[in-house]
Amino acid sequence: MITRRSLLAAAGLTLLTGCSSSTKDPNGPLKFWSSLRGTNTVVDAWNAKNPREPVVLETVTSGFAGGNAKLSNAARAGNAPDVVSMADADLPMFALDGVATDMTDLVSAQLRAELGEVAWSGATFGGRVYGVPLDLPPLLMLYREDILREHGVDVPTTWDEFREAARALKARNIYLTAFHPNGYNLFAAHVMQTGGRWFGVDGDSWVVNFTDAGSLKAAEYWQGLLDEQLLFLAPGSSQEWLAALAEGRVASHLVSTWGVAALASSVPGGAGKWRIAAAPQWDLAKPSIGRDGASLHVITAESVKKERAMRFIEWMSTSPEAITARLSSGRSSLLPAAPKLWDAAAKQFKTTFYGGQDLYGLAAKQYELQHGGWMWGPRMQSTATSIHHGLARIPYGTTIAQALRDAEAETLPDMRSLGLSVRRS
Amino acid sequence: MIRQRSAIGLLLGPFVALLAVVFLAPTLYAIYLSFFARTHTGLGFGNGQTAFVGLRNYGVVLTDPSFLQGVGVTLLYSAVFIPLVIVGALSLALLFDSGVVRLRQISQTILFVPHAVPGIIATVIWLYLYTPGISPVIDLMKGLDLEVDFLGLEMVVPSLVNIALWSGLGYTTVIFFAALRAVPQEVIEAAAIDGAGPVRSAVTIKVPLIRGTIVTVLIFTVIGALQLFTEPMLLSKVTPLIGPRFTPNMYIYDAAFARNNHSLASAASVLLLIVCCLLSFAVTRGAARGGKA
Repeated sequence: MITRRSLLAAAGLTLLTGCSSSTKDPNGPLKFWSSLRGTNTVVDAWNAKNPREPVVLETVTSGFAGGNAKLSNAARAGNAPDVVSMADADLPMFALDGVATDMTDLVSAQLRAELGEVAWSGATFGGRVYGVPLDLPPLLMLYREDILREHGVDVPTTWDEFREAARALKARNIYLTAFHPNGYNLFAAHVMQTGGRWFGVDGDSWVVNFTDAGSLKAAEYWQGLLDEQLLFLAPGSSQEWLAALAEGRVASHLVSTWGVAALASSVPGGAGKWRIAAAPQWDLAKPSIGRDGASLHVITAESVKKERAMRFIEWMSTSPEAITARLSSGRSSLLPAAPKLWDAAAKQFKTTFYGGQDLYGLAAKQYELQHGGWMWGPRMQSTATSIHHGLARIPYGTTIAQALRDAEAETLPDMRSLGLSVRRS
Repeated sequence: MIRQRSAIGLLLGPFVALLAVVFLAPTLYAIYLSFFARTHTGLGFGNGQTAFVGLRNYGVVLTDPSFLQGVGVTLLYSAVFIPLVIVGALSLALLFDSGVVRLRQISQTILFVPHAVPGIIATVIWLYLYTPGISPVIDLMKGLDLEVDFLGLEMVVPSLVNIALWSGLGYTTVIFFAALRAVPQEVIEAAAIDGAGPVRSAVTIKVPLIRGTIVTVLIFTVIGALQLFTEPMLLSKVTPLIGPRFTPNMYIYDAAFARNNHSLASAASVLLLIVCCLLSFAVTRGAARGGKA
């Protein structure tokens, strides 16, 4: 029988064990925080195979939704986990703040070779490595094949065709795609594609410019679509937008590879009607593609099990078993940063939602078109909030370019207050 | 003598202790934090350390366009709210005092009740009344062919002022009314005998006699207006026109909890404290000088 006292004792015990942080015990299990879909099956697979090096997973909310704050606070309080998943945009902050450890010396030559230069570029700052890339997801276009066919609209391959397609569908009261005021990362993917860059490095100094030629090119294009009222303006993940997708009022969704499975679980009714295409290009002769968010794994500076942590991380990024386990959850569609895992991923991924289409064959071609010339800033959550705030004012007359200018003006003081050397290009 | 001293100590002790713990210590810590910050060099990777940074954080706050905009918004809000609440409350208090209003106690209670509603609840109530689609007020006005977007570009500040007035007017009125009750009856009677009507006696006799109270209320109102936080914080959830750094206090909150930059937040807090002290001083001085003249 459960008495009040035994319950209290149990609660007290868990409290105690919770306080005696396992990160401090070199023989304790690895503590792992992740918000990535399908991580629980990955950890189960690891634990089944490595009972002597157990990993304890805590599923946390994604970075902006609270995960970043949780990690910062834990690091300050001295009870951060050993291993954390994070978005590439958040890595500079945690590297700068000393939360993510410099793991350059832990990265083996083999691991380095298996993931490729572009993937490592998002994890390397000032020549030091602070994270191990998990995926490198090019932007794709998911679209309703039935709607496009019904209205005689071809799948656009260039942004000019995309605009024409949007006009044709709008005439029939359908939006080709949505514009998300809370989607700085999608807009950043468009900027990456044009070759624009918001943050760069010149010697020992940050160089910031949110309105370079590439950024303005993307801003003007999307502003033009907005001005013509060709876009369904609603926040990403909002009920309003999901309902429009489910009802076929919005016919496509631009998202990186990871969003392929996410869409399937968001609008289950669309099974079989959706297809995947490459995102449109500016110039088919000179193709390039951006990404809206890649994931990495970092080891915290305070971890006393860094080598074990590295074994686990390396396994997640390069082992076919790990990607098979991740996709077996049915909730993930990661494109591994390690090309050698694509076969295993393609075998495991269920393609029923997309009419049996080969996601990984298509994504692999786009993977090659990504470049490493993009860098995120040291306080992206704050920068993103500024951008989102500006974009949310679009119905009140703000433009995308203005939102970028304002966000830059609000980002520079943040960087100066950290003592960083920063100039505008 | 000793007993008197120990009585003073005993009576002041709790106040001093609380003042030290909840005001002086945090203030000193904030000042410390604003000068000693986490700082980097160059790109900043791998070289973070806590060091004396001088006035750097103050410079950053004062050149941050979002902070300056917040100051602008607060000034605009104050310029609308402060005259409205002071003149409004004073007029109401004088009306109650003159006996023109019947059912004085009930009217006073009705006016005062909103003050008993916590600021957050009050804002939620108004949020409901401001939101198109669910607000009965907006539906009613639509029936009269009036279209108002309470959360639109021009209406954001008036909508905030309205919430603050609703909560604060009754409270301020009661303070003024209490002060008016303390005005000696003989003075009013003497004025009446000399031929002063109710308006004249209100403006030239009563108001000057409660000047001290008016100044005190003015100081509190000014400080309250500068610390605008709860109402816009809640409204920011429903209108993109109110951003996370809409007022200086929201800027401080954002710096500390969204940007994780406690030194920047401390510098902004210290600046706000200085401005509040200066303004209080100015109001008191201005009133004292006016009193002499």
